[in-house]
Amino acid sequence: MRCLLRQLTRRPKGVTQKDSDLVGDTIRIGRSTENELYLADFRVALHHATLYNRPGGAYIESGVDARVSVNGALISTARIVAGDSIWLGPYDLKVIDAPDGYDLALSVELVRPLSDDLNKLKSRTVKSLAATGMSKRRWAWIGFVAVLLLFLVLPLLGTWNEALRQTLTTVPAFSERAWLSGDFAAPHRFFAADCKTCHQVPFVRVQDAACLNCHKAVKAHADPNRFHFAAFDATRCASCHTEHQGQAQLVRSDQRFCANCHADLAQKTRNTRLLDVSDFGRGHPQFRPSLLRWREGREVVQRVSLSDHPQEQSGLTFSHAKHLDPRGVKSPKGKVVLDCARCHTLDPGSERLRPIRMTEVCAGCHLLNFDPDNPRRVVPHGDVAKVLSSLDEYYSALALKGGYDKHDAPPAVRRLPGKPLNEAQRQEALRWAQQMTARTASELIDKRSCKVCHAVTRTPGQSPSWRIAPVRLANHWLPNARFSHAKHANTACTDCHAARSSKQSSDVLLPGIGKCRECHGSGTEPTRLPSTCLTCHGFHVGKQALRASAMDTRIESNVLRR
Amino acid sequence: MHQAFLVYNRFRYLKLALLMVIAAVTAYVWHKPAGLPNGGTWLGYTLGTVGALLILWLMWLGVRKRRYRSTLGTVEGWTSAHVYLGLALLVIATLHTGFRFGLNIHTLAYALMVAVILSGIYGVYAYMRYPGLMTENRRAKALDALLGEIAELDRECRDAALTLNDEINRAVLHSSEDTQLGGSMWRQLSGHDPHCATAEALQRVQESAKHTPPALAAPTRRLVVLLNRKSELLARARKDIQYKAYMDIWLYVHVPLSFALLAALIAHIVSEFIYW
Repeated sequence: MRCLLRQLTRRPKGVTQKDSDLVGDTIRIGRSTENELYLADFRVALHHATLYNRPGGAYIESGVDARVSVNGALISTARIVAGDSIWLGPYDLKVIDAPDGYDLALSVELVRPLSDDLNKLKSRTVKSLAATGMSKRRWAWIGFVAVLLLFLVLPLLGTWNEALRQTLTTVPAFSERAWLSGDFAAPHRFFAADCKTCHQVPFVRVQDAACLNCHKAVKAHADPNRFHFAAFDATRCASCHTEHQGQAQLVRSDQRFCANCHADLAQKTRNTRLLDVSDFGRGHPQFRPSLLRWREGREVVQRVSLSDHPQEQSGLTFSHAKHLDPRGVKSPKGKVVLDCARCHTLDPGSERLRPIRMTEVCAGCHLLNFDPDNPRRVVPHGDVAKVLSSLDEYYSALALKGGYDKHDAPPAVRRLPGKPLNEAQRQEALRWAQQMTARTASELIDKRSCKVCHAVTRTPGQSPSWRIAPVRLANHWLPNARFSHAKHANTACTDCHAARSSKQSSDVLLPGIGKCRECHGSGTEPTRLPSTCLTCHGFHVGKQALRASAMDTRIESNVLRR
Repeated sequence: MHQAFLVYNRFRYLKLALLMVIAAVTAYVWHKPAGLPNGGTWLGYTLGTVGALLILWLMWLGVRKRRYRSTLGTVEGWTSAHVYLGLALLVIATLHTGFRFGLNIHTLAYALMVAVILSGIYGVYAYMRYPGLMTENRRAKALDALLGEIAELDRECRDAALTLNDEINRAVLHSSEDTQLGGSMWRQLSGHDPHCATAEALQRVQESAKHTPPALAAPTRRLVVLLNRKSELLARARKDIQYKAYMDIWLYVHVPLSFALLAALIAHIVSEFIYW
């Protein structure tokens, strides 16, 4: 169809008009530029309406979601004839008489220019958050400055000014407390309020000197002259002892730390006699108890592995089996059944067993008496010369006193008590006393008492002529390990120590590592108690002070020190 | 596509972020520090340094996107990297903590970082969801076009009410003079106005329509139709403002908290090393 378009524009001086031709099968009207009739106003839809020719006249069809009214009535499709008025958004389209050659003629006029309604509505519209006056920048500044001030600047000022620091402590969030990364280990809590006790210099890591202020007695791990490892020099106290991680972390207990060196110590140094060890469960040598030996006139300590069936050379004769006989063992009071605790008791620290003392433990049964007429009288234990002197004194006193009513005693000794002795009688009494002393000593030492437990040798001509072998029992088989009998009190002694079957005093009744491993293992074994090196061993076990030089390197600070 | 930044360069930055996360998690699992894992081991320092640099770089997006002449990558690429590396930061910083938290500046910094990242995740969600809903809601028109239609309806309403009684005219005037769109943050987010002047006018017109003489029934009906249409357009405009607010609001959390985080990060690092 062909359509004449007359665009009217009202001006103060009158109406101007501009004609143009629209040609097409249909003529589309809308805001989009692809329309043949393009009406640039937002109140017009993109495709607002379509004009088309049909036999019988021209028609207008409203677009989807657009509003078209013809002569005041909303329509979807309507036939239009000259004189009709079409409202389309703010436009008024009038159908005018079509000149020759045209199917339709329209005048178009914007009759409802944007009213003030729109501007007023816009002024009442706040269509974005930015338009409410909210400002990201302002809140960003507030957040930045507030956090920096409260959690950095204020605590920092507190480190310079003690009064301020004390004030800030009342609000822990804004004091140095806010910087605390974790709980203190319990031993350090009493001075924890002052960070500078340990953190002596700002931006410098805690120095050993700070630790050694209190821990003066801490020893080196090994003699630094014999075992000079770079690792020792580079290690600070805090490398191993980490603070602010609560109680459990102050002391390292991971065996990797030890195994780093000890797994192949022999490769690292020639100075050691220690065997390699990497893991208690899988890489620990058999126990090597320290045994006392007599070598070239002096006592030495020899470590012998339990695998090599070590023999104690204690100089004693003792059978654990006999003493633990469930039917009982002879005693002055008849048969008694003994248990381990009858003789072995824990020392007050509950770590070790108290050393066995004959006079405290054995003497209750093994009486050192010698005179059936005076059974309470005993000889002293531990010194042959004192035994002899004790017997000599005893029988000399009897002889001097007289009245000793035994048929084999000489008359001088059997005389009435108090009757004076002449010279010959005195000699006779002295001889008797000496004979009795010698006879009783021989009986006691060689037969009845000493020989029961001790190895006794006799060297005629020497005084005293008996020699009791010295007792050499180590008071600790494993002096470099900690073992608490108290912690194992739920286990019977004989579960670990094969005492019931031990008939020789040379037996070393230390259980082997296999016995420990029945319960203890490395951390990776799910059915064993995880036991690391530190379960039994210590680290600061050397004899030398821990890096003596560290004691002198007190670092003075003039920056944060109050 | 509003979410083109997610698929940018065939997920280049997603892959980079995954690589970083896998590397960090592997190192964390493999690392057996003395004592509990914490930020002070060598791995802790490494993760902390990476995390701090990431935070600075992520914040640099705010600078980069304003530098229109910059040729250092496209803003789309930067946004893609910002999203994926920001998510990776959550993992890296969490591993840096060694899962040790407390009431201190260190955990404050972490909490702020988590809040920033969570708001960012919401931002990604908003950018994926709301633009489509907005277009659908406005039927491809601009908001200003809706406002124009509403203003046009105001005029039509006034025309339609001319022959009706004063009360109705007052109601119509109230509708055209006092109807507000948007408003405070809460009003924008709620998406409707409980005291909408047009809704009130419609109610008053409907009330008085019951007593309208039959001769005036037709213009009254026409007015009701017009006011209903205006209400519908208002609802649509308010929905549009609501969606826009949904898309913008997270930035009011994301940006300020980022700067609070920057301050907390500085305090965290300085305090950590001043008392090393």
